[in-house]
Amino acid sequence: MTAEEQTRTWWEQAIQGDRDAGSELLRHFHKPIFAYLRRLIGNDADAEDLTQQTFSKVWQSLTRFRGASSLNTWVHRIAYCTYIDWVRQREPGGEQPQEWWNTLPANGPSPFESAAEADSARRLYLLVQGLEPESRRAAIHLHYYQNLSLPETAEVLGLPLSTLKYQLKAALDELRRLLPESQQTLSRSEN
Amino acid sequence: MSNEHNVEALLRRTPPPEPPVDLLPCLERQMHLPAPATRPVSRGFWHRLWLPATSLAGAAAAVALVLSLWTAGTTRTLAASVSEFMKLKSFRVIERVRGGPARPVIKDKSQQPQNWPNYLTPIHPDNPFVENQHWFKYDPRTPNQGLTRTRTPQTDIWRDGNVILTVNRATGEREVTLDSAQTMFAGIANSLLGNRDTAFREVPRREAPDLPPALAASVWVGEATRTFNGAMHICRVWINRANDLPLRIQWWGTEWPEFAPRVLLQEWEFTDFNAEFPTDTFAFEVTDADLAPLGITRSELDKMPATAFSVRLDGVSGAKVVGTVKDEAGVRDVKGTLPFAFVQNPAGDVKLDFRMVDGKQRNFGISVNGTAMNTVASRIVGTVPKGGNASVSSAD
Repeated sequence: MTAEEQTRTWWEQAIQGDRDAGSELLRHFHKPIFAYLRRLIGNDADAEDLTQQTFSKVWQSLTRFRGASSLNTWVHRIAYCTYIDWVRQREPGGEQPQEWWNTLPANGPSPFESAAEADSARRLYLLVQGLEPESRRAAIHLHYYQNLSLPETAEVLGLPLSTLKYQLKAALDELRRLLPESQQTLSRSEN
Repeated sequence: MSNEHNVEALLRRTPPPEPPVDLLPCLERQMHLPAPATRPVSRGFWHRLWLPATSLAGAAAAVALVLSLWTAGTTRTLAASVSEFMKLKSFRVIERVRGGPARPVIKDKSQQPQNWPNYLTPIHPDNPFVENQHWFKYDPRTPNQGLTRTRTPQTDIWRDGNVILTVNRATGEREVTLDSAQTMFAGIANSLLGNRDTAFREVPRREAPDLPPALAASVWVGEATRTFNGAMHICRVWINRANDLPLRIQWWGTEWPEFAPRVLLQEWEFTDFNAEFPTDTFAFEVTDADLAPLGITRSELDKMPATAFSVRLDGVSGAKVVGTVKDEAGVRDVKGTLPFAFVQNPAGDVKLDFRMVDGKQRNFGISVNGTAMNTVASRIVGTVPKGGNASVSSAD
């Protein structure tokens, strides 16, 4: 059974009121959705709050999911809309803290091969946060950080696939242009 | 960062931020699922299926599983069991379930215990069995609810019609709620749908060592499996061959090979069929002091029909809430400071609409007619159909 088939099964049970199945959906989705919102927002407290709002909307809309997309896409779409609402409502504030990078476990399993690579990733993340327009930044988050496919990302953002591909290409070009120091750092680590 | 592919690779390898450890339990508490779908049934069918709302859903699930047995050959249909069970005037259920602190189920050793696919659960082999008891008695005055009593290590819960009294056995703290929903409805409908197509196969005697030899000839034992979260859960039923009544229902799990190939997690033992329980089993008194949090007196309660129900609103203590309760009699304005409760004597279906006075989203909860929800919202709406389970949701 694929992950999508499994989540569909839980969804079918959850809409019958099965709380065990609802819990399974939560266990499956709460980490990626929190991670998605945490990266977008930059602090734990607001990410936690928006994760709760997202799942509140998921439960409200559970019976309206028609299966036209994957459940993963649908939940991400709700999280994205929740985030957009939050951005529109909040007052302009100061720079968002990025303490997440500092709290990564020092001796735990790391996907990075070197400290330099991790540093490049950190700087890349900060550049992603500065991407404009918002849809370009959202496309990077969904496709690369959340591992959604191109059609899934386009569906979450409500964009034609061709537009999404253009946005991603432009975003990658900009990131590559803005990372000369990281290029040098990574090149040294590869040698 | 020499090319686009390196940028892409670095983006993909960036580790995700981990959620706070208390986020998942918080989300689970806030979960509000749709009311269970139900098939149209005759009123007579439900009249005799009464279990207390206060019993754990398991008791209802147990009965519902009995309802779902079917097929032929080495499997067994239990239509006759259902028929006989519905004729009972009274019975008792002894429930044993693993209870204690939440403990980890590790499926991926590279992940933390609280991280998917691992999880924490109190129903764990390291926890001892906790025993709860449930008594049921049919009452023609309130055929949809009856008289019930539940006794757990922590609480004593009585129900007479729509009146429920919960007493904390350690502190003596008392709480009264009014619930007019049909008590069996949600549990049995939910479990019935979930297990409708389950096939139970007979278990050979040698594979049922917990079946006393003296009972072996008179008890049919069958089991079915269900895969859940990648693990097999086993449901085993004991049926009296002579009268088709259920004697025992068990749930086993296979997620703990370090303990045993299969571990008993929960069981319900049905006993005392049609017994004349002592009068004080179901007797309880509700006082004016008990009812004060609901804003009514005992004499007012006595004048109310069994369709009356209570609504409790809670969340951030001190938050001010206003709202309306609409039914065929008109619109009732409600206002208060969280937490607070009130009683509604309904005329037909009821619509509920409550909101934070300042319009801000914050923890906001509601308990009404067999339904409870705790969420983050500025507005909660709901409906209470006549004699049915309430349906509630946030409405921001």
